Amino acid sequence: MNPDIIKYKTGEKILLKGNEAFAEGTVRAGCRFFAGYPITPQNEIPEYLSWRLFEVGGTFIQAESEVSAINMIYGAASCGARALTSSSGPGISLKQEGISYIASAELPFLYANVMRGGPGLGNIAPCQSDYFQATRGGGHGDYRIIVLAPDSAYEMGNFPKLAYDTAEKYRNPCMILADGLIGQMMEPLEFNFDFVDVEKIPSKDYVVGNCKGREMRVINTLHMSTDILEKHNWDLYRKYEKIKAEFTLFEEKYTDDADIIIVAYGTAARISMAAIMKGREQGIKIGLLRPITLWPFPEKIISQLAQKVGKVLAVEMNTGQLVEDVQMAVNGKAEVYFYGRPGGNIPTGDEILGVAKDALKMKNVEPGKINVLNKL
Amino acid sequence: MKVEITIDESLCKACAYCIEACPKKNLEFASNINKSGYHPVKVKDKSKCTGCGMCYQVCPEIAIIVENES
Amino acid sequence: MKRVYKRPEGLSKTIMRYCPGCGHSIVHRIIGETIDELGIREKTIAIAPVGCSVFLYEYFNCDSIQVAHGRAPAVSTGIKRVNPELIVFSYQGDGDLAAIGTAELIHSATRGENFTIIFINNAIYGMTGGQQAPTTMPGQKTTTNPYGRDPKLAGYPIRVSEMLATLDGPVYIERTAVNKAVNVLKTKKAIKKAFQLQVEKKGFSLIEVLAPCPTGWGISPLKACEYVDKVMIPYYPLGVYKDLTQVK
Repeated sequence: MNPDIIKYKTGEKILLKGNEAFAEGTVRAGCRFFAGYPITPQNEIPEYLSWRLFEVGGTFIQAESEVSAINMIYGAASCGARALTSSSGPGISLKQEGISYIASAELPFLYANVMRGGPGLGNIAPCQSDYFQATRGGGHGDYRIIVLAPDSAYEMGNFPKLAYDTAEKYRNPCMILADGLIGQMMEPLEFNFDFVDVEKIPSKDYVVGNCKGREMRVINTLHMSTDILEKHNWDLYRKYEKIKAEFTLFEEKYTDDADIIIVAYGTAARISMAAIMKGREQGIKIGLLRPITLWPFPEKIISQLAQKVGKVLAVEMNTGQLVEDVQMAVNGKAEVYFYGRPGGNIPTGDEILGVAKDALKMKNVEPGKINVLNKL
Repeated sequence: MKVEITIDESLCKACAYCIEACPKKNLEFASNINKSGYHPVKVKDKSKCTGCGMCYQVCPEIAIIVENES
Repeated sequence: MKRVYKRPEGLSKTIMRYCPGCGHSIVHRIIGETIDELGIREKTIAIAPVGCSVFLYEYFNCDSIQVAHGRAPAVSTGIKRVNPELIVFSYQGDGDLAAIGTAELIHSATRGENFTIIFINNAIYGMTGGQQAPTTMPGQKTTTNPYGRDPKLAGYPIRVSEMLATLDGPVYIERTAVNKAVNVLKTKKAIKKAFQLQVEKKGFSLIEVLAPCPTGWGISPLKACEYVDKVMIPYYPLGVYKDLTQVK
């Protein structure tokens, strides 16, 4: 490997937008193929990669559509390359067809959804409207995607390595679910992993091309026999159960003495931290459970905390999606509250502190039922 | 010149392309029925086959093998 | 000199499940022969479409990928950019290529991607039961044109080769047919040339093959070949539409 292509030293402090940090992080993690289609608020990713991949001898293609881009990824991943695409809500919807095929073919690749407001064309402001789409597979058929939710430029930059390694370990697509704020915000970060030498990534025994001396290989998602497809579905199920058991990430803050736990991810989690710190100054004890993997969902820890604390507040930038997973994890054992700001609006720390105080005051609340704290 | 023509009658679906293509009109349907339910094509007179391979070219089933040593 | 006409090594031993008189298997065999003659089997990847030829991955004796309807040129692009030494061909019908996959086709052609598309134009959707294709002839009856295709309601057939030849990206575009021996031989020549150009890294090529679909058209195989001659070829003239290898 030519050392000139290593742009930043490991641990070196740099200043980048979240989208740029992510783009650099993917190249650093071994990505050498990008295909995508412009859409706000993720355009810094293809723009950055258009010159950066050129520098490292990779391929950048601006495709004619998201549909085409994801199928270019299918081809590149079929050959074993660390492939990448990125988009935002409407574009991810178009990519779902291809993602379903790649999930069925069990090929690893990475994609990012830098979420914007929806449904429809919505707007280009930060939003968390695609949680359901991300965590339930998103496309047709019965499959799951590993979903990582960064809350900073640091995580945008460093998650790609974790994402590629995990995707390849389980032969499953992996996505980064960010939002317009995480993508657009510029902040200091450093890379915590060394630049990956792509020559040293082990070759995979399922990729196509160069069939010399072996049986021909077929990458296929068509299984006309119902028995064969059922077996394939159960094989995938067993893989997903294994991922659930082995790869659930979350961050806990101030949960030891908390009277209420906020569950939030990404931008909502960051702002919730501001509310928690301000609350602590006023003697109000709020804790935070931040899921880092949205699928698999950290249901065990949420269940434990809910039973200990008794009150759980989900804060989201939508009208309530993650809160349904929280409700399932709580399983009727604690009070469940929800506060949401959809449409591209972002809650303030004071707003969140206010609703947390409201929730703390509420009595005789039916456990397990979702109590919406927005004044509608 | 040695010519050998072999028809795998189990593969034949009786489209008649080879009968049409044969410049010597040396192919015809057999009276028997193959396992797929078709009257397969057979060679009328092997000694008349010139080994041109036209029947092979048009056969969708690759049921005809022609060897031509000239 | 010994000439042997037999099943090429490029094809697997699996028996092809096509209807009597179908043009697909003739073209499969031609591709198989081409793979043999160019000695490229070990580095070839076949891209299977959605349509009657969806099981193509069972019929070729090389690595293959089955892809979503119409997306073959995008998948081929991904493969060739990651591994330019591989030989990639996509095999697509008229619905796959000229309806749902039009964008992928045109843009891979204009980028001049170095792979080969074999386009089977039989003017109908065979696998789904004989519905209208983008290339269905005016007046032709299909299961979704019970009164015959009326261009006023259903538009005109698309001449893919002519359309692509207007682009600067492609290097070689030819339309052939497999309705009779002489046309089969010309198809072989065209397909072999297209693969040869890919081996030489010359760029994008497409061979459009007019093929009979006796079942979909509801006529006998021989009548279907006649239909190609009398109805299709006048609308879709055979010949070379672009050949940059001829340009000095």
